[in-house]
Amino acid sequence: MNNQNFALRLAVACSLALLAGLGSGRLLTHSAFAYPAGQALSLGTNPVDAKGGVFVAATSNALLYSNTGPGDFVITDVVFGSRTVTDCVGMVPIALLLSPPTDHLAHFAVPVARGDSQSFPGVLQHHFSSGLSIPAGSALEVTATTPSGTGSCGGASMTYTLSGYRAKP
Amino acid sequence: MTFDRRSLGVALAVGLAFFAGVYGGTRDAGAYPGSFAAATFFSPLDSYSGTVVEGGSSVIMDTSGLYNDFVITDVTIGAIVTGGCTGSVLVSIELGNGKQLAALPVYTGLGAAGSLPPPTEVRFESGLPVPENTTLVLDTSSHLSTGSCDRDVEIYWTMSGFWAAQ
Repeated sequence: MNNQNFALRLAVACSLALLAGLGSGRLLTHSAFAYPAGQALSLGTNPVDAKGGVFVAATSNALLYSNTGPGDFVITDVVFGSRTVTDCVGMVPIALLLSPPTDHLAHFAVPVARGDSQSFPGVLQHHFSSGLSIPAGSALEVTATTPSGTGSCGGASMTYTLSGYRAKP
Repeated sequence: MTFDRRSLGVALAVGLAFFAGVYGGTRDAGAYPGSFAAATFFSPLDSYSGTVVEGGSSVIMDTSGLYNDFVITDVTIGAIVTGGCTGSVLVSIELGNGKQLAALPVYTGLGAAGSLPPPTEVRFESGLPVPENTTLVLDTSSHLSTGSCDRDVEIYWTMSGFWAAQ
């Protein structure tokens, strides 16, 4: 009889603990801040990805990110900066292009400053509530033209950082 | 079969303790996506910081033997100002396999009007993912500057984020 009571108590305790655990899990699954709930791919892996690097402000396009899949890649954060240029103060116009199909996704202007200027250019960062969608098989390219400003502005070295998540098509 | 008040009380106490432990340990901190953060009994938030001298690199995180990714949501990098020069240092945040996650300039020195460079502060809606079983390296370029610095530039950095669910 004692064993029966103990087994019953144990069973009730385990059931309630399981229910409580499930309840707390439900409370923890609130909406994501970074990406729309339900849109990230269920790959069993982390859907977040990032890429950074350097490109030179020139008229030709530079490849920033190539989406080899699976699924679309949605860019939620872009950060651009410039190395100090010896004799230039101005802005670098930047266009982000999807390819293929060729399409303009975004335009920015990144500040550049020479080393002895009285101010520091800082970085340009933008955070999208939705994002820039790069379909599988497509790439994101950048066109950064010669800085518009004073001094000798050719060949400005630019930094970039992209962050986003892999999403369902 | 009997079902007395005492057994019900024990069961309720166990359930409430479990509920309080799980929910209390992983409550929403506002920055990380709750449906994605690791459901551990401990806070999924974490931060790392340190310093490195220009031209050097440093392993700033090692996730060997861990079973969760770490997602960096906030990065602050700045330079300890030196006299005699003004310029920038390129800071690259890379995984141990060479994948470059971020590249950021850090401005150094004194401006002509005596202004001081602000730190480079970036936050991410998504983040910089550091997978399990890898290292995160902070690599700095040599100082690109005008003038002659009176000493090497020291870079300080702070990164915070959360441990993510698999």
